[in-house]
Amino acid sequence: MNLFRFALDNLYRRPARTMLTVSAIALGIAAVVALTSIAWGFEASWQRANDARGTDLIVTRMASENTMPSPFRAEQVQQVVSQLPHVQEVVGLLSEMLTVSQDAPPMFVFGWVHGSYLWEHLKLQEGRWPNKSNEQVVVIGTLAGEMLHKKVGDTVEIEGRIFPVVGIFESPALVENGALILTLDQAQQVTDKPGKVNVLNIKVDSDTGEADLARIKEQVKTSLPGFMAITSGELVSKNAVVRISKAMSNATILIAGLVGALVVFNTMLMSINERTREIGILLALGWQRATIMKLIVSEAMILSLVGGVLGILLGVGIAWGLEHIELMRGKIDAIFSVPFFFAVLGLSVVLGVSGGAYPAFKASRLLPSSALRQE
Amino acid sequence: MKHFVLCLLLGCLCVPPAYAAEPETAASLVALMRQAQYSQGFEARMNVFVTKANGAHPAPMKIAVIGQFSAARQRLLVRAIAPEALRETSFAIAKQANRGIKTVKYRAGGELIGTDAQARLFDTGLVAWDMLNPWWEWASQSLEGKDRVGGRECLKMRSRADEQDSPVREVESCIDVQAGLALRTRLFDGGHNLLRTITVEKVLRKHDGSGSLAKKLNITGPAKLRTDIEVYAGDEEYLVSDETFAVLDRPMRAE
Repeated sequence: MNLFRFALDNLYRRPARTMLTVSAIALGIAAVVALTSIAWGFEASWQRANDARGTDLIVTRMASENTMPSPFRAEQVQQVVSQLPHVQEVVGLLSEMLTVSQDAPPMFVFGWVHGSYLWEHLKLQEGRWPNKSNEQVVVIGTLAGEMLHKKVGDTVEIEGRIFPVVGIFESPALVENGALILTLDQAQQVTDKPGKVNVLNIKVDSDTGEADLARIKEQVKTSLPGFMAITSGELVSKNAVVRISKAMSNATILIAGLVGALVVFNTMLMSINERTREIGILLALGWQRATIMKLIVSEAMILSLVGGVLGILLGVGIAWGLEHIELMRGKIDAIFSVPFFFAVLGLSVVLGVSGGAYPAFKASRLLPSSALRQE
Repeated sequence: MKHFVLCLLLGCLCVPPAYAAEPETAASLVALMRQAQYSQGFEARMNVFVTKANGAHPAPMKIAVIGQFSAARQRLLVRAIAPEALRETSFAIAKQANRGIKTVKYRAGGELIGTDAQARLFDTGLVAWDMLNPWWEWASQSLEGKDRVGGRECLKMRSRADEQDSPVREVESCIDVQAGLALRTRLFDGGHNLLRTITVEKVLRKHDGSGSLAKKLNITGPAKLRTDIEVYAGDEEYLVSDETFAVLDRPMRAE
């Protein structure tokens, strides 16, 4: 009988305990998988939205680390930024999270400058785009249409004003698919922020290198006190929600890791206490102390690996479920990858080894003579 | 080495935390509270959810509040966004030179009606008088120690009305000095009956980091009416135009 089979048989001997240990590890791993994939997905979705728009730099307020950067008068800032070298286009954007239907959760409402490059990456599925900057119409993402049960020709009430839906679009970014887009003029009117934007999107020319981007950032900092120019990745990573979700996922990894290791530790310690006599016999039969250690660590690793695999499946299920509940639709776009799953399995192995190390060491130090005397 | 580490640890424990100095007198706290509400212009959009004494909920409301607060001028504009029946009904509220509060109700294009500053706005727990915090102008102010509201420490302050005929004779505030915000405000009448309590549940840091704003609050009373208010959008630098508060200067009829 090989060592692996021997370890398996030992775990089968106490099925209830084995199941409970595996379940505890699986739950911890599931929490890690679900939260991490959601945190990464949230960040990636915003990043994709900015990348898809073709924005190279974003100008916003220094303290804009909240979910929505605070609005500012665009005119003066835009004038300064437009004159910087390599800057090709500067476009304002206003965004708000608003309730547009009592039956749906609050949704993103974007205001984009009519005719600007921001619209270019969207694919019109049905209807048309706004014809002019002051046209009181709205286009909605496919997911927003589904959530609001709206199609072209219907109307949407935004902050007490009625907007006919003239188009339905699809975007590579989930955050835009779940959003409503007005022209900037209309968004400013409906939110009572005339002339204001949350961010200015900068598109630079094709000759611009990393050093040029760094120079633009520096120039914005010096010429516009209180403002900063950052890449979309930097803006996303500074976002309060992204930071909170990442911190939560890191805390979960830490807690799940500690709990998992303790569960394995406890199980293996109970197991070797019950099997002291058996270990004594094995030692008396000539088993090496290293073989006893390998046996106990193998049992711990089998527990944590099975828990890890089940946890991954459960975590994917939880993330998928959250993506599809009405309240969260359009806000979660969980990201999974093969390297991530391997990393999670690696975490499981580490849990197994760290939880099983001391019990294995303790078992290997037993003296056959005293172990055999134990009842 | 052990002694050095111990001294270092003890030293760290003895050093007071670097909090902003707490006001030592009621007058300095009043000055802080007045200063905290000063704004060239702000706008806040809020969801208002009313629960009546019998548990019934009228349709949820959305309102927009525009304000301008300075030592010389304190005025507000409260406009209903939803539901449709109330849309474009507005109240303009201003503190007057005689420290009275002028409240004007109007609909877009309609006539202006002067209303009682103590009346509830839109049948919610919101009262025009409370929104201007006139008790910070009263002469009698006293500090009454510390308390905790929602897990946050605050300084209790009692304000007593100068006029004997004021419908609100006493106001007890519990102020978070760091935030420059009253976490709980209790208003009492002449018989020391509790008229209403305003409790801040969530705060939001101002974008310039100079203090905090109420993000979520509730108003309880009168008659077990509960009003939950949550700010969902806003602009801390709203551009107040000449037209914004123009209704306050136009002739109106009494209610």
